[in-house]
Amino acid sequence: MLQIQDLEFRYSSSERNSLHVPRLSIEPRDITLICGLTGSGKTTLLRCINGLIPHYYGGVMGGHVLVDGIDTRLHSPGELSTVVGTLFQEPENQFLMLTVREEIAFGMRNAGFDETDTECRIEEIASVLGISHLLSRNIFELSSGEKQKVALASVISCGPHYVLLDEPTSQLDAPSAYSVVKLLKNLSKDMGVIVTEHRIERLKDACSRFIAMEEGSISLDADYSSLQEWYLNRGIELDGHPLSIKGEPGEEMLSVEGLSVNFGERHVLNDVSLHLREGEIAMLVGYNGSGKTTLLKSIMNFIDKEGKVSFRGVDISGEEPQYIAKKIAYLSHSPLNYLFQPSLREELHFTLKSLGSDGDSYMQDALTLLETLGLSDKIDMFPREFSCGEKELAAVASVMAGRRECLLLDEPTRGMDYLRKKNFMLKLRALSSSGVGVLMATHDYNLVKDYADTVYLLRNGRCTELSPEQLGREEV
Amino acid sequence: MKLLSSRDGNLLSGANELSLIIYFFVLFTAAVLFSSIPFQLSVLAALMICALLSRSLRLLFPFIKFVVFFMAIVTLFSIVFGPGMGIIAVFGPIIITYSALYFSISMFLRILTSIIALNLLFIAVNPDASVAFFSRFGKKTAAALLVATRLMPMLTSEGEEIMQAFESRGVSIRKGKWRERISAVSHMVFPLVYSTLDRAVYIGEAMEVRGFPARWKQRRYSYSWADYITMGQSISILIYSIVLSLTGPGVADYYSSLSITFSMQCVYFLLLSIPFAAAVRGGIHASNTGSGIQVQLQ
Repeated sequence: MLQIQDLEFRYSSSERNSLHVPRLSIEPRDITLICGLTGSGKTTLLRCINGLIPHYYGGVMGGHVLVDGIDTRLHSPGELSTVVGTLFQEPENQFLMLTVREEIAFGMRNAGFDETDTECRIEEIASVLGISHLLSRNIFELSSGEKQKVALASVISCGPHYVLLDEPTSQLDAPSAYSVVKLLKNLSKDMGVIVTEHRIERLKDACSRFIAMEEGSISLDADYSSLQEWYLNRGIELDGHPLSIKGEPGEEMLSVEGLSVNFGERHVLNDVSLHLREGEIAMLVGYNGSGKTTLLKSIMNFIDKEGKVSFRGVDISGEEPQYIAKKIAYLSHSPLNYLFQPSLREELHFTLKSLGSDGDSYMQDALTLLETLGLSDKIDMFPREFSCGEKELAAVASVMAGRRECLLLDEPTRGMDYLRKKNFMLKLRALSSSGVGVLMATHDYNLVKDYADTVYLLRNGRCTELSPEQLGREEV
Repeated sequence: MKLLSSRDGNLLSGANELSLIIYFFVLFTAAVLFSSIPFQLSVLAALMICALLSRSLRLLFPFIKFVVFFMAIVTLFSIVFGPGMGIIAVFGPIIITYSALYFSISMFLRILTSIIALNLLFIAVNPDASVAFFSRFGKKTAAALLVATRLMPMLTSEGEEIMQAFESRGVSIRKGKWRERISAVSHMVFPLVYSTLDRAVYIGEAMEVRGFPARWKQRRYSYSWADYITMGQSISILIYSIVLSLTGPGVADYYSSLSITFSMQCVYFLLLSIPFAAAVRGGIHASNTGSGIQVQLQ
């Protein structure tokens, strides 16, 4: 059993406690969901259970965490690795070897398994998770869903009593997420599964216990109906949809016609066409690997393509990315790559200077943009220290400065909790109301239903336009 | 985030990882030990054949073109301004001599071949196998190699992402005036450093929670007689090369007939071993895809 007694923790860089859990017990052979807003202490709690706190992160820790009687204070994460397995949010960050077979074997080699046992376990686990055909593959060539399964296989290979999963479905499309949830159900027959997740709708049927955290403490420990009520008290309806907020699109601004992209012999995009109008939020959906990111990047001309991309009737297919950037802003899924200046004001200056638009009137417009995005009061602060949603908005501001009329976004709400997501989308709608056209790739069905004016579904390299109502949850 | 590696479906993929590591290490040592220009050219030829067989030329070229460019400039300066004997030509105050010319070309080839040999060690051989081999020298070596082999591909793809982030803000990086491009690249350092530090923390976390290096145990390789021959051949050549180097022909002897004879014999032997290993194994995957132990599923 996992037992927590009088647990308190403060990071060395912080002046206040990040965690305060007086008592918590989690039985093995059960799936427990830990949820709560970003910064509520979910990941810190997981770090206390796997021993990264205090052994890796330091800080000040009080109380005890006992995993099957083993005190995490007295045993390093390495020693605990045969009892507690951890799957991080981005599987790529935890891969240490190149091939799937070696990756699964890594933990077992560290735990001192002999070669015969290691090989038997690899074959057994691969068979259970349905990844036997991937064993000799290069990890970095796998799809997101396959990577998640390989990461899970490498975590459970040592036969831990508990598995901790930090937002395991946040980057997955619906079928991959469904398959991971099904695997977790199977795993829970032999071990305790503890999951943190923002997309509760994906896990609600699999979990038997729901723990909601708030400001480092456990605010609720109950069943799903109580969790619904808990969220409702905070203005979030878990299963319902708030009133849809749709725009009133104007004239066409961006047009993509007959666009094709090939990676070697693989046809990623095949004769794709789409149109974006002023003030419109168009969402691009499709399974992992369907070509959403490729489409956005090919519009910016970051990758070689065939076909025509026009902006306000002018062909920009052959233009260099930095010239296309004068008209169209692009934000990848890593907002931190856009934030490196000491303040938000200097980020805006940097963009305006790069675009050659550093006059006072441009700066005034950029300040208005900040006001629309709700960041005016943070203009002189270091953007990398903003909260998750604010970082994304700051990155939007930094790419949109310079009176650009079109915004391409690649999964901007990834890792955001319900409240931050809602806030982000409301700000984006405010931006689109000022005439900006937004084309956004996403896996979030609720966002598509609530905020999309137009939906483009990418499947097998082809693009189909649907109304949000026509789109099924399983296709996102 | 793809690690640059060309391991599967080529003419070297049948050879054992360990024999390839030893083979490239021998070529690297040979490149460093000898000054003879014909010998260096022969080593370069051997490396190019390996790159062709392993289909690594495409991965190798972007890196070595910079090395060739900068080394060519340094070599040119060395030829023009280096002191020496045996005058070839005199252009006013500039005197070009045979010894400066031979020395400069030899140094150019020595650096180029050693860099290519090291690169092939990580491109044509599965990096997992290279890490496993070098980590025999200690847990700290293993840790350093694990971090390095994970960070390199991450930094490559992160660098590409950051470059695109800059271009989407109107910054000229790939085209335009040199001055503007250098200024733009200098800005990229900050996000790249931030990102590298973040990634290093993630890798550290992953290594900790997966028990590294509690009881770090090496994988067991299975070898065939062809592997033993290749490894034995490589090690013999290594010893032979060191003896040659110590007894005279390898030392500052850029164009001697004696060294050519000895050196060429070595290189022919090395060259012969490449098709030998590939032909004998016939592209059959063995130790690089598993230990070969039969597994009974329950």
